[in-house]
Amino acid sequence: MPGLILGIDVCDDYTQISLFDRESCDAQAVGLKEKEENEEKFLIPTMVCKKKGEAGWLIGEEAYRAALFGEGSMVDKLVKLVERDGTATIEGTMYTAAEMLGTFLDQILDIPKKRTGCEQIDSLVFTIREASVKVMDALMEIAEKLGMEREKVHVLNHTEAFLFFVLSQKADIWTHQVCAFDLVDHGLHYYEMSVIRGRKPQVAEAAHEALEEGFSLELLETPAGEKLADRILTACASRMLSKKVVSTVFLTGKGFENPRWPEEFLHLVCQKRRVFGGQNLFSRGAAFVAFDYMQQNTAYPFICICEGRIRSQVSMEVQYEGRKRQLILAPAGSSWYETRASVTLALDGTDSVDFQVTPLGGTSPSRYSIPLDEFPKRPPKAAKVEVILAFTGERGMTVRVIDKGFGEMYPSSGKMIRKDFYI
Amino acid sequence: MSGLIYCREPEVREPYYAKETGISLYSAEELSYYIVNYVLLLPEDFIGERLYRFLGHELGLAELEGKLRHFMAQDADLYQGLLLLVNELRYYGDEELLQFRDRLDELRNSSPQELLKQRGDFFLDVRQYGNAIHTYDQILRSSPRDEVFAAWIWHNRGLACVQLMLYEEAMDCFVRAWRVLSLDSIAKEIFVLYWMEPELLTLPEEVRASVSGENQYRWKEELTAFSKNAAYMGKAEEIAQAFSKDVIRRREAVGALIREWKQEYREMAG
Repeated sequence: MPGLILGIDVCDDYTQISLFDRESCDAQAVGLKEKEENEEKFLIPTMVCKKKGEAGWLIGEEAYRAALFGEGSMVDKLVKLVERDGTATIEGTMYTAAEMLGTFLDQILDIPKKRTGCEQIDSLVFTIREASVKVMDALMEIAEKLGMEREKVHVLNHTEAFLFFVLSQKADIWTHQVCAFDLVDHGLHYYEMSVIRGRKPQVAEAAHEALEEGFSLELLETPAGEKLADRILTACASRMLSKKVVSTVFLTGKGFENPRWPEEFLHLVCQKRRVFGGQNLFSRGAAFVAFDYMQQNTAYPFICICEGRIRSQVSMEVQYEGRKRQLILAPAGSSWYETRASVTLALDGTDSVDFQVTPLGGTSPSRYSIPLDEFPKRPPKAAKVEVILAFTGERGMTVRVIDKGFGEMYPSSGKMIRKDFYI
Repeated sequence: MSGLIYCREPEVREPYYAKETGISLYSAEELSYYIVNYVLLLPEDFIGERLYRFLGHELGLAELEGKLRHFMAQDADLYQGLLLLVNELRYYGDEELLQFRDRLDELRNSSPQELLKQRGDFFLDVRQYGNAIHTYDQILRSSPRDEVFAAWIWHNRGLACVQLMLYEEAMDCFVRAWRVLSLDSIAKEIFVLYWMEPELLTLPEEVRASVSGENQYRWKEELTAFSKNAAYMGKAEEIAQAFSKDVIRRREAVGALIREWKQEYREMAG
């Protein structure tokens, strides 16, 4: 039996799960069925509660309910807590935010496992609102602790998940610009993407903006508040969509659970555009990517440019089998968090390692050089170096050059040169 | 063509052990480099079963292994096989391959004694002085007929002896070379050696008489200047750097230096 392919959207307020179905090649939301209730809830509050005097933890609505009745101590906003290296002391024991998020995700992963009867996960992609190294590292470590192999787990931000979600739809959805409004308790987020045609490979570009007009969803609890919220949203949409050719608009987030309420807003966005509403946009995007990671050839032959992705190609000129070639270490559009290259090179009469950084869009490449003065002098072709390239952000590149020597003829000095670049 | 060469570098479980030098080779690049730079030391049976296995099993170059086997089965000699191998490994460019081919032609046309001299000179270059002396002795035992050739062997043997601090033997070698070649450069080496160890060595009168007082003075000045600078160069500098560290690091640094020098001396002495 093949394993599960999952996309999980982990936000501070709610977590959503999407399960990719190999047969229909589509991703469907999987929710939590509460005891004594038949309704499946797809928005699972990201919170845990440790019941008093018991070892077990509750998650989601159950956690909230238990805390409300004073049966235990609840901890919410787990993502933010991880980012702040936060802790919580419950019944005299201190738990780190990562431990509690791990407990939460362990139970979240059990939901699709129980539903399908399959214990194995073949590919898992988490999506979080914004790329944060601490949260990404924590998610990777949690997945590893839960028994998953590191290479089967990936993390995307919401902009990336939105981009891949849209690209997974029929092409007529993204003939022009595609936008999304994500209305959540802590704000209003706007996403847009477009495919720049005429280039090979095609470039898919996406952007995200946290709009200042965000409001608390409590506002929607009264008719007057609803009207005010409608006016705010209409003003935002009017500003964001003006002078743009937008073919499709997606509405997502807890705030759009009832698609009827923002009348004026809907009237505006529905003009000559297709409008879709749903709660699992980001988790479905993540599930599509989770499936794509398992394929030998990607179904997305695009250079994807958005936050979390490198906007330039990093390469170096090398000789291979007697010919000069351009060795690509980091292609434009790759995720900075996951991009890591390591190559072994022999030095042939050169005392530096040179790179070329070519921005997307055809502007002239910049050259960067790392002098190897600290390494012992050796005859041409009698020294090898290992070049390790990694990123600390979309524009922060770190290169380490390690003296590998040349076998027993010229043993390694063990020296390493590290240089950081802003590209 | 200078620059960076991309290395394939597959994981080698068992390196190729070159018994003539005691060096283990771990990659195709090392094998190429070794062949080109240590060609003088390669034995006749270098291309054999062990090398085929290394190419096919360890480096994953089964096609090249087959090609080389087939080529050698057609009565190709060692040098032809080496050229094919280096060419196929593609670590060297066209120009370097041409130079290597010329070098192999030169070796093919050399007499056994000339080959041995080149081997001795190679050992001298790579600071394996014990092996150099052993190789020069092999030539001298065969009593070469060419007097000038033999004199150069004595001279180079002397250079190797100096490095191993065998000063009396070195003086004997230099004097034998000087008697045939009568070169000022060799006379200078004799004088310098004598000035380094005046209590141990004797300067032959015939050499002293052949050099003008002016030259002797100039050489002495050069030696004095060099000796002064030597206190701030090479090994003296290394030890000075080690002693400039704090107590704990100094002990570590001096220990590491001594270990390194011991190893270096063992390799030099062969």
